[in-house]
Amino acid sequence: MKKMLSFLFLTALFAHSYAGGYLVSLQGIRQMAMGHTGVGIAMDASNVFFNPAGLSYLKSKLAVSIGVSILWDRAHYQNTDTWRQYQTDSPTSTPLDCYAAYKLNDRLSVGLGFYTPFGSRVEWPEDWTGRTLVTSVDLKSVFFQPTVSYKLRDWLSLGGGLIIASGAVNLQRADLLTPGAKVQLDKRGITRLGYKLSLMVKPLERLTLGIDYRSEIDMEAEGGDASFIGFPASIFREPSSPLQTADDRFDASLPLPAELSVGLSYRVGQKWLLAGDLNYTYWSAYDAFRVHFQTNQAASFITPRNWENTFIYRLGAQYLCTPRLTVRLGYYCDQSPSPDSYWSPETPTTDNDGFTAGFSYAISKRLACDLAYLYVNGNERSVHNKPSGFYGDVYAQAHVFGLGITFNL
Amino acid sequence: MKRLWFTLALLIGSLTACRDAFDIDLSERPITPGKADFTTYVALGASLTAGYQDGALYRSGQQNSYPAIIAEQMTAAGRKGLFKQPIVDSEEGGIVVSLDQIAAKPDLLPPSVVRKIKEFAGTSLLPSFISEMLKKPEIAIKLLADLLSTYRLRIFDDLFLPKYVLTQSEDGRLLPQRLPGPGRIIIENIYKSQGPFNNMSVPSLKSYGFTEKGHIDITRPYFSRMASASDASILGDALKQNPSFFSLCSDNDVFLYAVDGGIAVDGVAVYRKGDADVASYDVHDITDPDVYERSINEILKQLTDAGAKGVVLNVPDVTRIPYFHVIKWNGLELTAAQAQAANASQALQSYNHKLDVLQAAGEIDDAQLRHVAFRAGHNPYLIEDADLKNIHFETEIPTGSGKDPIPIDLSQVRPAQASDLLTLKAAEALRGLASWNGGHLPALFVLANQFVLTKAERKNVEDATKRYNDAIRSLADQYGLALADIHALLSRAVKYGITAAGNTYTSEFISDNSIFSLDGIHCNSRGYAIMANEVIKAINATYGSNIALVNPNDYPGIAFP
Repeated sequence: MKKMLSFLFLTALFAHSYAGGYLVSLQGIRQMAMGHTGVGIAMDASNVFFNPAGLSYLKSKLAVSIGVSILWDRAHYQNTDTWRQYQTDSPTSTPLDCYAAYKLNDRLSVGLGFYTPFGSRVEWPEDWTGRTLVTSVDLKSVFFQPTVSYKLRDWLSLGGGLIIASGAVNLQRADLLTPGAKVQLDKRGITRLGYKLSLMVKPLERLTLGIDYRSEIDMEAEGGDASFIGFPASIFREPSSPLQTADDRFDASLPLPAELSVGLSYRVGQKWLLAGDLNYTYWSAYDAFRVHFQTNQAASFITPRNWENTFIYRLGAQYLCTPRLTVRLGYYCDQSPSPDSYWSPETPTTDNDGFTAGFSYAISKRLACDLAYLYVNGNERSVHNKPSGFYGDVYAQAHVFGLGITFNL
Repeated sequence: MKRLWFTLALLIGSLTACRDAFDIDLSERPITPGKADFTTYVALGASLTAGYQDGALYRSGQQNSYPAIIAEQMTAAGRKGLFKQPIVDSEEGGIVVSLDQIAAKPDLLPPSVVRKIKEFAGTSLLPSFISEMLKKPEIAIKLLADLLSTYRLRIFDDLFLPKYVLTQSEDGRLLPQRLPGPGRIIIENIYKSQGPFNNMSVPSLKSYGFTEKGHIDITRPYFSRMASASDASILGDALKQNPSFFSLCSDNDVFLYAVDGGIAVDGVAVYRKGDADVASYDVHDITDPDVYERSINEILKQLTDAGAKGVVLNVPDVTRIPYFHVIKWNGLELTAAQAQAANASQALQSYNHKLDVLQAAGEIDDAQLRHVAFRAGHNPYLIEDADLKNIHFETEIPTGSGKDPIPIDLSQVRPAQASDLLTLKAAEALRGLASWNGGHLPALFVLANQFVLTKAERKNVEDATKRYNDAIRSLADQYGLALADIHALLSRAVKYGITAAGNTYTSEFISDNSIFSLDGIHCNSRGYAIMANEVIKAINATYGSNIALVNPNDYPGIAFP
């Protein structure tokens, strides 16, 4: 089990960003197929993420959901003056999510989740226009979340969890001082705590409402490694130079923003389930990217981000074709939190339309396999980061295949 | 179930609507010349246009000249053939001082230079002096170097020395220093083997020089490399190529006056306003604005009569370049003891006393301005100001035990003011003085006229620049040509910086973000790329072409050791 866990851990580290900001919405294969709705559904063990309150509505004694996604994404950039075009060449990644829920009694359930809600892996070409801003970003986070759910009434349950967030960041950018020079910031093993609170209500037999709140977690990287690679040695000896050492330490922080979600689902007849979610993400926490170098203090920088809180609108539907086959469809629309005038290629965000489809096939009463496909169309936008002088047109695309198994005892 | 399939079909339909391409894919957009014709592009100008940087003309600097960058971008808009520049065969630059050439034709030297050499060599006649020099080349180089610094022979100064490189001193400071030894470039005519040249720019050329015939001599060595014949003119050689498009930048008419602090080869340089006799001009004199306008008009008339279209660059404000902003006017740091000792010195006491006496006698009225009193902390440097009345006050500073006292001339001297600009060459002089003095500057010394652009001299520069630019604006209008506002570009760089894809370029001296090279005067390749973009924008705006810009970050900046 220990081996298994560490394997899972490694796999989960490779999480991509294609949603607005560096938020990843691939937290449950079934939900993903339904436009990533799920706050108002007691679906399966992945309620640990979507709405822990729903765990106590699950019928099985033990529920387990494991999902893996294969994610391919690409951001495209063209400069409107030089007419040059570049695209990210980020490797395919496979974020992984595991959830388990156990019913202690009729009212009380406990759960455990292991998932990757934030992450970003972006690789721009080494010679690209914005290379002094970024050539490569690898932002990883893994949330480990023990959860409880308590059913107060048949129509009302509460849920909550403690989030133990672990993260790592690696950021590289070119420096123009001399050809081939680059700055690398690297910090591993950042651990911070957060929490989750949620509520699920069933006012009518066919209607379920949910509210879920996840707290902000500020991933502070203190004393990370800052390497000034390929710089001429002379620059570190010049007394007035901002750079005094090639191997420095840095302090920085990146907020993983709070999110408030409300969702509902409605059963139509015996076969249809319709769902709608609204996520409100407090991206305004990301007002600036601040990097402080401990020795090369004069090279410290603050670049304004001025991100704005965003809404994500999600719609999903599920249709029970046969007792074994369930088909799902969905759509979501996800705003970019970054204003045009502060847009930065570290997180190449766009306004996204996500189209989803998928199905579950019940192999037995206890075991089902889930498949999902997500296509993200990152709408073209024209950006001009005034402080840095970076501008151009950007669009993005992503294809995600999700494969999961759901086990109910 | 039907509804489900319908929804699925709708979904697939909307998916295929998401095209994997930009709304307007710029890589497929046709590049057009608009109303211009870029088939044959010829660039006319002086050092800035030749790609001069780091105080020299050298190969990779020329390769990144702004006309070369523009020409490359123009190729997609219909420019044909190679864009030929008279590339020198050296990465280090500087012209070999050809003593043979001087010996063979001593009359090629300007009379003032010959006079100085005669003075220097005493009674010996010039040819014999030179033959003496030829026998001992090391001594000759030393002698020439002394001549250059002593007599401020401008033509030798920059053109004949190799480029500046950044070197690290023992205390770690990165300082620009010229590569040792003489220049590396042997001047020989390359027109037959490589010409004609699209970049017809000649360092140190003035507006009235474009149409002058001849000058294949050591006073204009770079033209003698590229001229089609011994009686050729620069404009004539440009016209021979039937240019369909040209650029013209004549920024040199006020330039040498400024960078040499208003000195001339023979004394003080003059703003020749209203004086059209260019034959009598010193190389440092500021060209008469009317001469400037007539010269530019003549060039534009001949080029446009021949059917060419083009772009004219105006003149940047030379006083904004880092060359004038490295040394501060009050950068002389003294301790209380040093200040007190200097104030109590016989030299200063008698100087200040003489000022008071002269003022009382009504012979001068600026004693207050000239008065010298040092204090602890920052002090203004003492500067020579040729606009002051000569009070003939020469004295000596004792150097102590057994050594000879140092003479000091305070005849036309005053403490610098905030409005005086000290040149980058003053920095070199101060470093030399400090190392001679045991690591720190003495209190009492004078920065010579050539190291200071005084407030009055700045006024001349500003007035001439404004008049030149007014002329350029109206001539560009008159001939329907594009105007690239390099003057505004430099102001913008100084005041706000110019951003380019994550980098903010400034006029800082020695920085990876600077647009200037190590001479503090000319651009580095990134600066030339920014200039090229400004010119391209002006061309596109005037002619409706859509030449793509370049990313300045793609070009080399200052080379750090």
